[in-house]
Amino acid sequence: MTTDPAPRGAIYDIGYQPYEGERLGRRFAIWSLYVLSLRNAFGIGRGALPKVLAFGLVILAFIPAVVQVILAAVVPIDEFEFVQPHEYFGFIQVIIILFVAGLSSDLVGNDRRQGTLSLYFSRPIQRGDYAAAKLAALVTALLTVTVLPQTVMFAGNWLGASDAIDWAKANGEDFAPILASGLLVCIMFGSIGIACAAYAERRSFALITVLIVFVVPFVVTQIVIDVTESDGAGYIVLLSPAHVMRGFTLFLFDAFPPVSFRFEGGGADEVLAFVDLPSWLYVIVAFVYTGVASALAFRRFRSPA
Amino acid sequence: MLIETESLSKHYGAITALDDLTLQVEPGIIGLVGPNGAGKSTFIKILLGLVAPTSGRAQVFGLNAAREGLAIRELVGYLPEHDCLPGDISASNFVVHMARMSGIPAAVARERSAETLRHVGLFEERYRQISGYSTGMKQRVKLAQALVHDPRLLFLDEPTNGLDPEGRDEMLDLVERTGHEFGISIVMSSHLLSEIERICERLIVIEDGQLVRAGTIAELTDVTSVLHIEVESGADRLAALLTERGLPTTVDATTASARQLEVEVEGERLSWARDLVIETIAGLGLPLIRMEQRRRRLEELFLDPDSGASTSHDTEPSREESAS
Repeated sequence: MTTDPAPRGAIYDIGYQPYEGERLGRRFAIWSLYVLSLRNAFGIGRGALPKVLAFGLVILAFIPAVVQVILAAVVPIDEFEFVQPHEYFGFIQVIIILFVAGLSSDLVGNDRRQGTLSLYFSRPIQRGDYAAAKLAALVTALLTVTVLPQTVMFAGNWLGASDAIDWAKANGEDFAPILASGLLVCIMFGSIGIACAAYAERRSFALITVLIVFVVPFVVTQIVIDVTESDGAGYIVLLSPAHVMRGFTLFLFDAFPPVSFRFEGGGADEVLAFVDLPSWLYVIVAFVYTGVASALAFRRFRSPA
Repeated sequence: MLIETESLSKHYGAITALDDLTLQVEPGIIGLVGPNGAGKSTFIKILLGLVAPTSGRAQVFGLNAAREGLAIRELVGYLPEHDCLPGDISASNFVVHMARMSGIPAAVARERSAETLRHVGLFEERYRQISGYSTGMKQRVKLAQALVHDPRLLFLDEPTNGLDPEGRDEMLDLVERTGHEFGISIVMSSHLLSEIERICERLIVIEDGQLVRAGTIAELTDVTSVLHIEVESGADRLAALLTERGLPTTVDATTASARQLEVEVEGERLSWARDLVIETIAGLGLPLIRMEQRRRRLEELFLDPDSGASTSHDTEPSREESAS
């Protein structure tokens, strides 16, 4: 195509070519949406603020792992362990929740607010594909605050051990629960986050909704158990996603504290020990949360906005 | 056939968005006209396969819109009426992403994105964040994302919305060149007939969800011609006599002297009508000042209630309508 000097100094038609190549269709479109959402989640290709927020939380999530690895290099691990794998998510639970709240409202809320959603739906994807790509992006992003720091800690402890083979024999079986519990946290919290953000009209509402869904039941559960000191109210812990997370993590690591017959105050783990529900129940309930939340998110995007 | 619909209806509860729409559209630049809420956007969404019709059938490229939406959306581009651009990424990155979402491989997507943004007139600006763009630049980005995957058909919903007159001109030029030089069919909705008249070859008029007209602009504007006659005096007598002789004539009462007459004539009767007018004027011995014939402008077809041009498809079906 030649470049004809158009009036008003604008040359519009250089380079536009018909495209005769392959069109990769739906799967590639979903993959592209997933990749862009993941980049957006960490602020890549965007301004400074999203980068600072996302990477800031990731760094915070790594702090216990880094402290533990440094200590392991100095102090023999069998003498002192700053944080154990089954405690890790409890340690950084606030960071995980903030990460879910920030990212889900960003990933879903922005597209709705800016109207970009209608452009995506004019592409060769189905409506449910959108929710799937966003959920997958959030779950992947969540790995950086769950499985990744745990893996770094696992590797660091191993390297810091005086006898690597002995350590591997004693602790090697921890790695499967690290992966399993980490993945389950990602899909459960991720789907709850996407579902909340899908129904919130604004990004700020989405953020607040996610925080409420995680924080309020947690606080209420702690107080109810503390005040009533009755294990009759025990099933209330299943209404708190954060307690469920602690429950299935302890179950997967086979690290439930001994059942206590009196609630002696303290953290979520003590609450779980006090209410003494069947420990496998937490895994089931985690999958129920995941299923219900994903179904709600898919439903939201299936019906035209 | 580019677009074909048969008894297409869409109800949202008690609200009827589209009502028994049957039409066939051939490739080209097509104007979609109608007042706000006429059903234009619903029509486009059904054709994109995003909204299922309540009843009836719609086809694009011979593909069923309700069942084969994915295949259709791979080959069409869509520019929505409302804001639809993210603020905090660059136009370049955004258009690359939209190309990939249309199934264009990543490397080609980058190349085509740069080309397309140049085509719409965005050069170095394309690396800046969209939030800093003017309305005109944003409209160009919207066009670029609709065009980047080289669609066979573009749906442009009010592409000149919010633009100043100069921006409007440039956008229309761009749309016209896109349609003519690259052979991409375009369905452009607008509530401004002058825009449609300027660049479109065909026209679909919808009102209250019903088809009012469909056809080529030439067909529609050729349906009737108007003879303007100006005489020194005796306009009333001339009008009466012409009407009596089978040529309904009105005196244009808006001019102070009331000496101008308007005669509506169908295309094929034009020379007969002209002869009759001259003969009658000569017979009455009136001093003729001028007589001229002109084609109607689109606007008159819809806006002038006395023009005799029907706005109801019951009384005057166009050729495309009766063909379906």
